[in-house]
Amino acid sequence: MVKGVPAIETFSLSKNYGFVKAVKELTVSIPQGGTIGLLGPNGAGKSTTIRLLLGLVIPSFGEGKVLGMDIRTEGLKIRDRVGYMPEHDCFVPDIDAVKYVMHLGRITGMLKADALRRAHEVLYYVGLGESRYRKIETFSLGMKQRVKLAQALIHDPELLILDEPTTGMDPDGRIDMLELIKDIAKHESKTLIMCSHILADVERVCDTVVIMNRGKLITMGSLKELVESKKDAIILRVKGDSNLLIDKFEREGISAELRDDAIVVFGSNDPSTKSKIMKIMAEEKIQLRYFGKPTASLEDLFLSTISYEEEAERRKTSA
Amino acid sequence: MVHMSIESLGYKEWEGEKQGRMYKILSLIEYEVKHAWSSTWIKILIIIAWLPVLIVFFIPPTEINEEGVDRIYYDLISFTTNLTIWLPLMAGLIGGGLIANDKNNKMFSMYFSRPLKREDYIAGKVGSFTALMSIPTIIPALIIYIVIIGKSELSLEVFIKKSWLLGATWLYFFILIVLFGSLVLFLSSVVKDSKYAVVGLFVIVILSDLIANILWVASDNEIYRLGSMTFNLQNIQIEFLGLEQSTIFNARLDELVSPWKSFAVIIGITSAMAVLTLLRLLSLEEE
Repeated sequence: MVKGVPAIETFSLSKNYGFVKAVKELTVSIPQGGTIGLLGPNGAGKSTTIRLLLGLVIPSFGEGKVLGMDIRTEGLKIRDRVGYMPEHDCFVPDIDAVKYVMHLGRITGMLKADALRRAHEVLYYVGLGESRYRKIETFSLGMKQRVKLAQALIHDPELLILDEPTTGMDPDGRIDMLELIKDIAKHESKTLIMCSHILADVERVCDTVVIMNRGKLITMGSLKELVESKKDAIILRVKGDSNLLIDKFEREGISAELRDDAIVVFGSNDPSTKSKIMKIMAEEKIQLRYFGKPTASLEDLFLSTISYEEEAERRKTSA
Repeated sequence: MVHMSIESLGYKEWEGEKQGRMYKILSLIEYEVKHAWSSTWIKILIIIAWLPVLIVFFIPPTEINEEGVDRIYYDLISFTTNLTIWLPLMAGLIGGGLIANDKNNKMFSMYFSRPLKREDYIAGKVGSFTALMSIPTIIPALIIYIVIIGKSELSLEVFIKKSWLLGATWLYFFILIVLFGSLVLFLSSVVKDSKYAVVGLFVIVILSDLIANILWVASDNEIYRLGSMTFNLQNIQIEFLGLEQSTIFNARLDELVSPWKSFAVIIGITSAMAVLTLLRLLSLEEE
């Protein structure tokens, strides 16, 4: 681990497949250490971003570095220091877990004896010590996920990329897997990137999140700070015309939107906002039913950022 | 028994030296050879291919004279190297799954997320195909030659004089392995199921023979014979390597097409297949 070098650094990183822009001008800098959640709906560009970072596809434009190495020219060196756990099953039939993990260790360049010893170690670590000589096709979905984690760990990588690590796991297995991820992340020299659509999992293990949509970076930062920023809102439930009230708010420079049956007013940290809201409601003779702070979670953050982005995109297109 | 939780074992770091490209290629070869060996069909074919090695022990030493040694050797070798049936079947069974199985099992994401070049992956597959194909071809050829020497009452000088036979056989097998290897690996990269690669190889061999022969007969132009895979291999075998034609399976060829032309056709096919396989691998990775 080279201190001071970001784990991932990209500048205007873009990838086009024909006319499809899979990743659009992605600029991020992720320091080494910690667990980063990579979020986004299907087609957000997460997988392409991973492939770009692994040096498996050449960027159309822009630059990128992983652990200080150029993704255009140093793909092999990057992959030497990165462990990747894919989302889908990728197993060879008729092979036991030890042989499978050892084989992948040898392909990474580990000597046979080292790979064998290490395969036993990582399989024990992921909780498959007792089942390591069983054929992988007889494993449950959760056990297969553990084998995939073991193969990603065999060469002790500095950067670990986990694509949907808890998919298909039962609640107990999910918690075990997340505990393992947290345990790995305790090591200072390790940086983990976790792609997941299970936001509760991301919330449980990640300290930083990167949210992507339609190939673009929507937001990035400390999970705690981003969630807190969403608390800068007020939820109103009123008896009367909510749309009329939102129009009035916007005329007064207050940002608001209708979500389900409630009005969400942003910028509540400004002391004048609350008095302005009350004044407008009194003028319009609208009865207030509920006034309170939202309970912000990663899910709220994710949904609001994605829907805000899509709305902005729609407005831009219609304009 | 004391039960230890996962966490209590803890994550251990690993410090060791990683090996270079050649080691990774050899690891891939070792793995594929061991994996192929678990197939019953491949075991059966290899056992059949080794039958001539048994037969050679039953040939009376008096029959192995200076005039007949070439014929005995060649007949034994060609028993398992018949071009139309035996070799495509072996090549298909051995090589058909080498890439197709990785594709079906989605192993590309495992291999290529590691420090393994695509060229090294192909080298590993070609290496494993060559190693496996050597078992029914190159190794029996050597053993048969040694047994014939051991059994005969001929002088060592005769065998030193005849050693070109072994060298030429090996060279011929090598050409066969490279040609069928390039074809079957390309087929393996395009089909979903390995058995289609076996069928595809048969279709290529038989169709190329059929079309080339029809065109040759219809036009009376020898050049069309170069379209036949079997013709080119036989042409090299007889004219270029000086190996005699087997009387068991094949008819004598006309000596009108230069073996160099056949050689050029085979090099052309092999190179084209290698490039197409590499391109196919690149496109599979993009998918």
